[in-house]
Amino acid sequence: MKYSRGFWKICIVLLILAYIPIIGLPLFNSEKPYLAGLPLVWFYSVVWVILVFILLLLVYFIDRRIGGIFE
Amino acid sequence: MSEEYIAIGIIFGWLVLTVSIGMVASRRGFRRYSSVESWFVAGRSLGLIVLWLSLGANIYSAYTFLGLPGLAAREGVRVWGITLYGMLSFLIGFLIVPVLWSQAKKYNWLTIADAFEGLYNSKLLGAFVAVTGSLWCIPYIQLQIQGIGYIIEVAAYGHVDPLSAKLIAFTLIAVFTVIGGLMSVAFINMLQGAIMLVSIWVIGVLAPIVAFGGVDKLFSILGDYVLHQPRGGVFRLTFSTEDILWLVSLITIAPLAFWLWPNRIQNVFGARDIKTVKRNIMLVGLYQISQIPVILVGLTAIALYAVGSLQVPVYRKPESDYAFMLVTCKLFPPWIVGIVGAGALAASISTAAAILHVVGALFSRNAYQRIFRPKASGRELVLLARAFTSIIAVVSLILAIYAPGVLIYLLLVGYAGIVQFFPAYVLRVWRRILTKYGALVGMSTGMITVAIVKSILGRPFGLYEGFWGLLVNIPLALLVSYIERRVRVGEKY
Repeated sequence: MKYSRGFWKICIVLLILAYIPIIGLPLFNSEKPYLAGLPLVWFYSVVWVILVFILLLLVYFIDRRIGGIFE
Repeated sequence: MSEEYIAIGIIFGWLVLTVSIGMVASRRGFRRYSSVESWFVAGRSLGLIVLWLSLGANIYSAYTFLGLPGLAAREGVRVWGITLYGMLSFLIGFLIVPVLWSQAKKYNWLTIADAFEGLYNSKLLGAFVAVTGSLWCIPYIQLQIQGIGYIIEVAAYGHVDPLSAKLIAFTLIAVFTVIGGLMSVAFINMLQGAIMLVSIWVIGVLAPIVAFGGVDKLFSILGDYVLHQPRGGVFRLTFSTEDILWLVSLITIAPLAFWLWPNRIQNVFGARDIKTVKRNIMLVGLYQISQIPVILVGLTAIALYAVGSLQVPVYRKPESDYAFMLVTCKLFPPWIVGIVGAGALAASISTAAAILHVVGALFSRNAYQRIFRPKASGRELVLLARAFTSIIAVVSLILAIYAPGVLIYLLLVGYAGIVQFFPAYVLRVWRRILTKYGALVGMSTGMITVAIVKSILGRPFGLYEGFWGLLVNIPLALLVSYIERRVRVGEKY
C-alpha cells in the first residue's frame, strides 16, 4: 500500500481547510443575526459540518482520479 | 390495545426478527468460511451495502439517539463538538484506514491488537492493546445498556421496570453475539442501520415542525429560555471561552481515536477489497449529517419543557438523556414510538454486540493464545472468546445499574483512552520512530493520566481528557524509545 506524493500534499491542504473554521469561531460566536432560522454560530457550525463532508467527497474523488492510495 | 403494548410490541417484535435473521445469516456464513476467520472478520467478504449499513449501526448507537439530543437539551451549543469531531474522523480515516486494511489483509491481522503485534513484532504489545482496548470498551457498552433501559422505560409509558428490560434485551444480544460472529453481527447491523436512519430523519425533521411550526419559533423560545432557565441549567446558544477550548481540544484529539476502536477497525477488516473500504468511509459520512436532525430533537425537548408542555426536567442529568424518546412520545402516536424505539434499541444493541464480539476476539487471540497457549485450537479460541464476552457484558451491566453516567461523557471517556494508541500506531508506521518499550510506556502512562484527570482533577482549563493523556504519552514514548535505541547501540559495541 502506497500513497502518491502529490496526493499527500492535497490531503494536507484539505485537512488544513477542514480545521480553518476554528479561527473564525470566536468571530461568529454570536446569536444574532439569525440565518435560515438558526442563530449565527449554529448556522456556522452546520456549514462547518457540511464543509468537512464536501472535503471528504473531494478526497475520495481525487483518490479515484489520480490513484492517491494504491496497492 | 393500550398504547404501551403497541410500542413495546413493535420494539420486541423487531428485536426477535433481527436476531432470527442474524442467526440464519451466521449459520450460512459458517458453511462458507473457516470458523475462526468467519467469527472474527466474516471471511473478509463484506460488500459495500452490508458494510455501509453495518458500520453505520456499529458507529451510531445510543449516543446518537439518546446522548446527542440529551447533550443538546442540557448544554445547547456544545453539542456541535460531537458532530464535528465525528465528521473530521472520516476525513482523517480516509488517510489511515485503507493502509491498515491493506496490511491486515497482507499479514492476516484479524484484530487491532494483531496490528500492533505485527508492527512492533511483540506479543506483549499485542496483548497490552488487547486487554486495555477491551477495558476502554466497557464505558461504551455501559452506555448502550443504560440507553436500552431509557428507551424501554419511556416506550412502555412507565409500565415496564427498566432493570428487567435491560436484562432481557442485553441477555438476548449477548446470546446472539456468542452464538454468531461478525457475519451475523454484520447482518443484524445492516437491518439496524436501515431502521435507524429512517427514524432519525423522520423524527428529527418533523419534531420542531409539529411542536412549534418550525425552527424559527423553536429558537425564539430557546432564546427566552437561556435568560430564564431554572437553577442548575447550563444551556447556552453561544460558546463560552471554556466551551471553545473544550471543542478545539475535542475535535483535534477524538478523531485520532475514531478508527482505532477495536470494534470499528475489525468491522472494516471484514471488507471485501480496498475500494469497498474507501467508498465506505466516504458514505458513512452521510450518517454524520444525520446527527443534525437528532440535535433538533434535543432542542425541541428543552423548548417543550420551557413552555410547560413537557413535565420531565430535561435540563438536568440524567433526565436529559430521555429527550429523544420523550419528544417522540409527546408528539407522535404509539406505533411511531414503537418504530423509533425499535430503531434506537437496534442501534444500541447492534453496537453493544459488535463491541462484545470484538473484545472476546481480542482476549482469546491476542492475550490468551499469544501469551499462555500458543498451540490453542481454533475451537478453543472461539469458546474462550465467548466466555470473555460474557464476563465483559456482565461487568458493563453491573456498572450500568450501580454507577450510571451521562451517556455522551461515557463515550468521550472511552475515546480519551483509545486515542492513547494513536501515537504508537502512527509513529511506527511512519518511519518506525517508536520502539516496543517506548510505545508501551507511552500508552500506559497516557491511559493512567486520562484516568487521573477524569476521576480526580476534573477537566483542567476545560480541555478534553484525551489531550492530557497525549501530553504525557508522546514525550515519554519518544524519550524511552531514544533510550532503548542508545542502550541497544551500546550493547552492540
